[in-house]
Amino acid sequence: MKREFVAIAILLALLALSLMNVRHIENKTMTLAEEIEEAGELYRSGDPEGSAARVQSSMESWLGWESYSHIMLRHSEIDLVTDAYFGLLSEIESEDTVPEASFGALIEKLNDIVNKERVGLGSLL
Amino acid sequence: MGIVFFRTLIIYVSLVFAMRLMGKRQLGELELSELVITVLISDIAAHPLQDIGIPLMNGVLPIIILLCCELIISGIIVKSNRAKEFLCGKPCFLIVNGVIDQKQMKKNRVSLDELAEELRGQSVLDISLIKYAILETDGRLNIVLFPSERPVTAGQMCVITSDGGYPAIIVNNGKLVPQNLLLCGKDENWLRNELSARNVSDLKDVYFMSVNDAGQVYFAKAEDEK
Repeated sequence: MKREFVAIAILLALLALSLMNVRHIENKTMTLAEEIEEAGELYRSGDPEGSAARVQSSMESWLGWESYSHIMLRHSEIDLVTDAYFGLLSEIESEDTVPEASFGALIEKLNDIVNKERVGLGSLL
Repeated sequence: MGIVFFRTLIIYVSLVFAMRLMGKRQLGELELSELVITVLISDIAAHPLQDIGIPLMNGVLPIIILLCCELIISGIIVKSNRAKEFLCGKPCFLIVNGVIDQKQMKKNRVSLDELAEELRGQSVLDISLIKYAILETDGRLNIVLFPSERPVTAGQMCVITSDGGYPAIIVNNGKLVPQNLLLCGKDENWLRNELSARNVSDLKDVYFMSVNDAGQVYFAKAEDEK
């Protein structure tokens, strides 16, 4: 029975690690989404430079998380978010008006990541 | 390409390790749960190898989980007959006393052609000679002939036979297997003498050599490489 108990212990440990991983991704994407929301508010209040700085720091935080995200997330999803960050930053830094949807699109992509990882009936089925 | 190289190595080592832990049965006849896991593992392992956009963890983690499930299920099967019956099914008698059980044939979805093929595979052409034909849980068909149709054994004939015992491999492809030499109660002097009796001075010239409990030696000289 020793082998079976070891197998059960490994399964439980993997389950715990998986749930911790989901929680970690949830926290990280939520923090990043909040930063983008703040950047949007700064832009709306007429501070495009402050908004760009906030998006820049959020992007650095996202890129700094790459070693973890590349192990745990599909690379196509990571690329989508990274492209959205670069797109938003270049839009803010250009002279043109940034549509509200650009901030929303990045937030949506960050939320998509955690929605796919979250354990629920929808994601399971 | 480097990523594919290392990923393939990691998946290969994980698979070999997992199959090793599952036991030798995986290599031969598979029970239902074992077959499911073997098919699943081979499919899951292939995905991260083909698409480097999928994290390797997506391949390794399912292998570990399936391995744990298999260990737990095989442990339960060993402990509980009811669990074994539930997970693997029960052996079925397809032929009893030379009569085909048509109900069991239908239930197990075995056609007459398949039954005949299995019987031919075991050199039985006449169903009336069969006492029992048992469909095992791993899909094998085992046949027990009527006592009058079974081959006569030496015991039944009251013939005294000699048993040479288990032949231990002493030299395997030019390499000495020292533990087997000790097991047979022989030493290197004995080996030297045996080799010189066969005009061989170097172990590299021996392809295969074994000795059984009766001291009978089987010897095969290595062929020249050209």
